[in-house]
Amino acid sequence: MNLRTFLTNLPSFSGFSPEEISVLEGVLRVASYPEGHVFTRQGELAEGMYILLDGSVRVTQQDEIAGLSQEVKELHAGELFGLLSLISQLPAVATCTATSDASAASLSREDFDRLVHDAPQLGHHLHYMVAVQLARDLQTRNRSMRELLKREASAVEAR
Amino acid sequence: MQQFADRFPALAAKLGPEDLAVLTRAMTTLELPAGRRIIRDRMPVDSLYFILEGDVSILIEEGGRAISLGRLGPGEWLGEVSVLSGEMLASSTVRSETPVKLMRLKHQAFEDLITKNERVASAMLRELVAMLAARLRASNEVSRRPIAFEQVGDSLAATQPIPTGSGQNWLASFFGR
Repeated sequence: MNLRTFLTNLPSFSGFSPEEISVLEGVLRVASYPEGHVFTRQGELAEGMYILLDGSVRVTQQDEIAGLSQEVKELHAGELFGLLSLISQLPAVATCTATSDASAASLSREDFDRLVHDAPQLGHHLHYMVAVQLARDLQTRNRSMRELLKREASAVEAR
Repeated sequence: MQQFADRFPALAAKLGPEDLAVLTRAMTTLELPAGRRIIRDRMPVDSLYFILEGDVSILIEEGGRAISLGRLGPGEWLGEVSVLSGEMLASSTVRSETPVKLMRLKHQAFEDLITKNERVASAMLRELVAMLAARLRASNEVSRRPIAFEQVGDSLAATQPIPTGSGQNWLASFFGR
């Protein structure tokens, strides 16, 4: 597969100049991963973010506030995951596991800093995606707190 | 503008004087007495708020009961999650506990600013990411501890050990949506 063509066709990166796409291509590391490979583990620091090139990845999340059931999401080629690892000392909020043999392009935090410097527009866009992901994760926690409140309220009424 | 720069030194430094002026020109000042709901749980939120003076408390309300998640003060933002997530409804209530002075930036003005001005966008995004990350990090630490509930009048209040320090208040992660 031609990485450059793949990147250019991704909605996340369409509209960026060929120069910026070149910088991105230059900092990505493409590798193959066997079925069952764990890319990120919830609560642990991950090495970088990934763009799934081929295969599928399952995202699972254990809710630690209200103990809600795991959220499961299946990712396919072209999707990004592990975005929060681009931020220093932020543990993964979900576990990402390959559910088939897969290939992915990874971006380390150090290379992300280089990308931000050399391709600011693209780096800015990735920063925005990180911010959106953070906002959604905080919202999820808020929902868990509400769930906890509902449960405690009905427990009090039952007494 | 000086007061804004004093309360939000990291953002002001990233912006520089010129862009700071652009940002503050897009804002309006809001002064409210204690006891007002600035943001209402599950109601639309149309602005970002920057606290200059006073304290607010953060509540999650459900069925006439509330969990009090704690307080936020000067130097903190409110309402940023709803603008980023695209879900424009609040998921907590923000209530003034003392008289407060806030700077209000309408979501529309915020979007105009970050689409038209690359430097402002970059500075605000970096600051937002840092703040959101600090809140998520802090909430990671605290969410593993048990939450103690207590009955307060009609409200059910939860008390939590709260990490202190600007941007480290995990309760901040529950407001302003």
